[in-house]
This record gives sequence, structure tokens and C-alpha cells, in this order.
Amino acid sequence: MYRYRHGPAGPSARGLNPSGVRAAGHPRWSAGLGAGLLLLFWAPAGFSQEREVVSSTIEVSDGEASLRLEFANGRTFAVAFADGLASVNGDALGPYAPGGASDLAWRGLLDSAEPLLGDALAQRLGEWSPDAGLPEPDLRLLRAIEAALGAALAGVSPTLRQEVPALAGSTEADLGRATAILGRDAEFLQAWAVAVEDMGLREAVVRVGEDYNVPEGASVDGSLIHVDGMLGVRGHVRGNVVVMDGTLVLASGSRIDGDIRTLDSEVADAGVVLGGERVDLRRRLQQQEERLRSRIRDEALVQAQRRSGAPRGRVSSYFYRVRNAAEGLLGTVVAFVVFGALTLLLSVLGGHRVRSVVGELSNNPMGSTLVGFAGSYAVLPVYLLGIAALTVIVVGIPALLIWVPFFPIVVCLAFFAGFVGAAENVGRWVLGLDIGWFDRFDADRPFVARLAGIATLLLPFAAGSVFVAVPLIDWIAGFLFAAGALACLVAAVAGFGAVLITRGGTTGSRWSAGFADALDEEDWSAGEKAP
Amino acid sequence: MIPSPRVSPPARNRLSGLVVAVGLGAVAGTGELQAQQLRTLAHSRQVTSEDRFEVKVIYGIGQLKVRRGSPGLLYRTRMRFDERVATPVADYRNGRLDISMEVLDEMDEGPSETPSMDLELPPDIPMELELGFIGGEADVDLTGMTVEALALNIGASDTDLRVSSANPQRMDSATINVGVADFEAHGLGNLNARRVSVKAGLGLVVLGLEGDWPEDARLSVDMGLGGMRILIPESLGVRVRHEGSFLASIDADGFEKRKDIYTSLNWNQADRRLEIELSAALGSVEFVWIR
Repeated sequence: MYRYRHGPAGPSARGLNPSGVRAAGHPRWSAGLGAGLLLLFWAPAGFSQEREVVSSTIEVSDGEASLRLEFANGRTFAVAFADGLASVNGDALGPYAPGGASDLAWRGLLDSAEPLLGDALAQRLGEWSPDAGLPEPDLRLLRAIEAALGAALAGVSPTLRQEVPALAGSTEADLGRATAILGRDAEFLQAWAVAVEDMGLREAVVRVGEDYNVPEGASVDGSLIHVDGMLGVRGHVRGNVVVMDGTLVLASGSRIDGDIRTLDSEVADAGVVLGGERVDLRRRLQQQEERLRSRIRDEALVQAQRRSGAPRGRVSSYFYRVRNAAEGLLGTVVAFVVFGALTLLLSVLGGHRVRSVVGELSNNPMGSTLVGFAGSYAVLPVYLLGIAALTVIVVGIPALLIWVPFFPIVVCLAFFAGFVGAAENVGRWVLGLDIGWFDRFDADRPFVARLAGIATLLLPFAAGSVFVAVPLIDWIAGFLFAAGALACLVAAVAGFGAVLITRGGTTGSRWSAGFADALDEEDWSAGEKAP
Repeated sequence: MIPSPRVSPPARNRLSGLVVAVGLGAVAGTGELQAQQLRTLAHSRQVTSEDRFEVKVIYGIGQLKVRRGSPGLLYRTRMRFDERVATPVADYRNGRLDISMEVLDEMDEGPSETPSMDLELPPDIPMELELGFIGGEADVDLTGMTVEALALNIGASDTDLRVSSANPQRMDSATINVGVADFEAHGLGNLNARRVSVKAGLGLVVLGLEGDWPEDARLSVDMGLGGMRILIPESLGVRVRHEGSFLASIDADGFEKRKDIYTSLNWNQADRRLEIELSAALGSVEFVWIR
């Protein structure tokens, strides 16, 4: 299976490097490598494709340029330049400068490889070699990638090439010392990178597995790095002292101008005069790791919040909910006011027609609903057919100018009148319930009943808005909103059907007669006459 | 007479332009303006053991091109997109490729380049193609491909379909559903389909019946509202059964009309015959003879 879902560059899944060993992926370690202390080279195998490339993915953006190969045996190989860090199969290889020489060279390779497939692609990648004229750090990084690519395509496990440069400051057995350091676990190498990150390595002296003393009265210009052994200081060190997996003995009166940096080492201090600070490398590593985790966590949080649109933080999130709830409530109130005003207008101008609709709805609800549904479906075809018919008739052109804008207006008016009629029926029912303070409202007054009905129909929206602010059960809001929308829809459609049956409220005497008494007492006498 | 969809490019692109404009308008809406984050994603896969290939494409925004790839290629995609606006998804599993360009909700972060995708498909693997274009522009060239089933669903996309050489695989049916869009097809005779079904909702549709027509075939056309032009090669005998309303007009030069049946004058002499079932609600249908 291949599934590629593209996403922003971020911490990628970590896998095994081509040698099958999980390499230390700590960026600081990579930075340390890049600083020039250690050079890791995968053995550049001569190109001979033993693995068939069946699939390739090349992805390029401002911040990332990556290649992913899938071989016929199902194995994959990936190289990525992302966010200033180059990696192979998810393991950090070293830093690069975005837009710098190594970045551009890598992008150039991907650009030329993109149109290719299978053997041609493998050949292009296998024969690629970085320009020897590139600056040293870029060339070193690209050479490592070249070797990894060659090894992956040849189907061999890359091996570490023991081309470790001489450690500055040492005079003999450099290769052996470097090998001893390289053979340590990832944590040690990470600590190493932290320990030497700000040191001038050419002035440092590295000793591995040796005991050494700085005699009293003697001074050392530069730093001392001690691995596996005892370092005694009685004299003066004009730099840092680094002890890893060893023992440090500081005599009274000894002097160190820089820091004392230790990893898993014993320190016997009889009274050193220290110019710098004491650094526990393991603790420093933990702090860095925690910072990295925190950064990733923050970044993930930011991404998640971007998607959800919610603000940061628990408190902010709560206010965000409350704000949404308040906006929902305010919207419902505004809708009620607008509907109320329009209802008032409708009652004054055409109240008697609404009464016919109310009567029809009250006595023939099922028929009104069915007619409403049928009428709703017929609206658009009637509109279009009207346009077509008026278009083909020469005399229909002037009528077309009226038909096109006014038909939708009339339909909307009919829906609203029907909605108000349905709302009045709902309002009468609600006000007739045995609830104490409802007695204050006169259910026989049509306008009051209509407002009560509209309020009832909008009630689910208001309640849903409140639930929006309540964590864990905010899903109830969705149900309430859906219920409210459905109720309003049914009211409007059924009302529309009643409007159609009563022909706009002009022929509703059959059902509206029962409301005659109430009509006589209606305030809106000008408009509420029975038809 | 219906206007040629190709006469007025602005009109042709109006609908898709509107869709893109709405999308870009949403992108350019309120909110903090940020630089677009363009990303190019190229993915290719070789044929290994596949003897059939199912392809489903759902494309919602931007420009899409579908072409034949080189021999040995199973598929190749090249997508260019603003990652704030769209996310491509390519999922290949057991001989089935699903491709989609998902449009993200958060489109309020400034202007963006229209996404694009090029898709290359194999020339010699029998394919079931299901292509869905919701919006944007699509250019589909099936020339040189082996297609055993075709379903083309077009929402509001401006789409061109072209088949310039005969499909070596006989297919039972090809269905083309057009929603609210401009659609132009050429070389339908090269599809090698027993039955071609076209349903058009609203818009301008051009159906070019050019091609080899290896056998007699049927074409079903169901048109809602709009205009349709059907281009017929002179060598093809055509009989049209029209079921429609009085609001649909038919311009059929070169046909003999008897009740609701239009028969081309070359029907008896033609080597290949095509029967068209035409249903039109509102609009005009024009038959144009071509050499």
C-alpha cells in the first residue's frame, strides 16, 4: 500500500538508516558533526543498481526538498532537506543553510530526477556527485548523501568509513581516539556535541582512556577533553575542562578559566578557582530534550488550533466557547426581533389573510403540509417555465420584466405568511399550556400568539447556543440546531401549503369561520377582518 | 442555433472562473495575510504485477490534466498547490489509485495560486476510470490508453475530453454526467463503447462523434437546460429518437423526420450506425455534420 498524505514539514517518523542502525537524530549532535569534529561518511559504493525503483515521490517547497524511493522488495529510502536539517530515513544527518549551496545542489538533483522513472531515475541518482568546488560543510553533507544514495540503490548496507580527521590538539593515535568516541552510544555523542559546541577545537586536547595531571605551577592554553580516565588539575587551565565517563580531581589552589563540563563522572573538588560554571551535560541534555518536546508540543498545538479556529489556552478556549454561545444567543434575539417586526407589518397590512391561513393550518394540517411540499418543488420549474413562456411570446417581454423579479418576492412573502400562520397556531398551543406566567399573555390576540409561536420555534436555537458553551455536552447543540431548523422548515412549508390552498388567504372562509369571534376583538381592526 | 462554446472563451470559462473566483475570494478574505506556501509534489510508480488498474480521481479546485504516460509507467502525478489552501491525497493499493485534491477550510490567509495537477496513466494496462471534477478546469486526453470502463462526473468544472485514437479495449458503457458546466468531448467514436450515456444538467455541451466506431453503438443523451451541439462525421449513419418537451428545439439538417424520429439521409448506406436516444427539457440541440 502506498498512501501519501501531504502535510507541513515537521518531525518525521524516525526509521533505521541504511546501515540498519538507529542513528542519533539529535539536531545538536548533527550540529556538532557539522562543526567539524566528526565526519560520517557512508561508503560510496560504485553505482550498480541491484534494487529496482518502483515508486518515487519528490516534494519541493520553500522549506523542504525531499525524495522518497520505494524498491521492488518493499523497502523504502528517503532523503529530506527540511527546516535547516538534512536527514536520511528520518535520521538527522546534519544542518544546512536554506538557500545555501547544499540546498540548491540537492534541489537541482531533484529537479532533474523528477521526470525520470525506474532505471533512468536510479541511474540519475546513482551517478550524481556533488560539485567538488562547493564549500567544505556543504560538500561534506552532500557527499554523505551521495554515499547513502549509492548504497541504497546498490542494495548494500552502508558502512561507516573511518575517515575521521585528526582531532585538533592531539598529536598521536587520532584515529583510535575518534573511533573510541564514535563507538559510544547516541547519548554520549549528543553530550559530546553539547560539550564542544562553543569550543575552539584546535586549541583543545583530547585524551581517551588515559590518566593525566596538570602539575602545580603548570598552565595549559586551551581546553582539556578527557574521556574514560582520570584528570587531575593542580595548575592552571586557560579554557574549559570536559570530563566524560571519567574522574576529575581538582586540587586546592588549582584554577580553571572556563567551565567544568562533566558527563557521568566523579568530581573531587578541593577548592578550585573557577572562572566559568559547572555544567552537568546529562542535565543539559534533558533540558534540551524537554525544550524540543515543548517546542514540538507548542507547534502541534498551534497547528491544531489553526485547524479548529480556537484560540490558545484553556482559559482562552473557554472564553471562545462563551463568546460563540453569546453570539448564538444574540443572533437568535435579533432573528426574533426581525421576525416580530415583519410579523407586525404583515398583521397590519394583511392580517385577515393570515387568519385564513391560520384556519387552514389548524383544521387541515396534513393537507397543508403536503400541498406545501408539492408547491415548494414546483416553485423553480414554474419560475423557469414562466420565463421560457414569456420569452417566446413577443408580448410577454414586458411581463418578463415583472415576472423575473417579482415572482421570487411573492414566493418569499407566501412562505413568510405561511410561517407566521404556523407560528400563530404554535403560539396558541403554547400559551394554552398550564404554565403560570403564561396567563399574562392573551392567547386570543393574534399578534401575541404569533410572537409566542415565533419565540417557540426559535427556542431550540437559543438553547443550542447555550449548550455550545458547555464542554463535553456541546454536541447537544447540534441536535438542537437541527431540531430548530427542521421545525422552522416544516412550519414554513406547511404554511406555504395553506397559503396556496387559500389562494393567498383570499378563500379561507371554510376554516377561518371559527375564528370570527376572536377576529372581532382583534386590535388590528384595519387588517384583521375575516375574509 | 446555439452559440459555439469555443467562440467566446470568456463565456466558456465564466462558470469555472466564478468557482475559482469564489474560492480565491474566500482565500483573500478577512484575516492575516500570509505569503502563499507553494509546494510541488511529484509521484510516479512503475508497472510491476498489475494487469488491471482502477483509477478514481476527485478533483475539486484548480486545473487538472490527464494524459497517457510512457510504457512501463503505472501512473505519474505532479501536483502544485498552496498548502494553506489544498491538500492532495494519493492512495495506491492493490491496483487501485485514489487521487483527490482536498480543499482546506482555512482559506482566509491571503491570496493563493490556483492548484494544478498533471496525471499520466499507463498506455497498455486496462483501466477503469472514474473521474470526478467538482470545480476548476479539467483537460482529459484518453488518446492511447486502454480503457475498459469510463465514468466521468462533472460538477461545475470546465472540462474537455479528447480521444484521438481508438481504444483497443471494448467497453460496455461510458457514462458522462455533467452538472452545471461547460463540457466538450471529441472522438467519442474512439472510446469503443457499446453505449455512451450523457446526462447534462445546465450549460453548454459539445459532443464530437468523431472516431473509428469499431461497431454499431448507442448514445443516450439526457439534457436539462441549456444548449447541446452534436458533431457527426459524414460516414456515420445516425438515427435519433427524440423524447422532449415543446420547449426544446432541434436543429437537424441532413435528417429525415418522421414523428419523433430523425434519420440521417445516409442511414442505409453507412458502414457504422449510431442510435441516439435524445431527451431534452429546455433549450436547443443542434446536429452538425463534419468531414
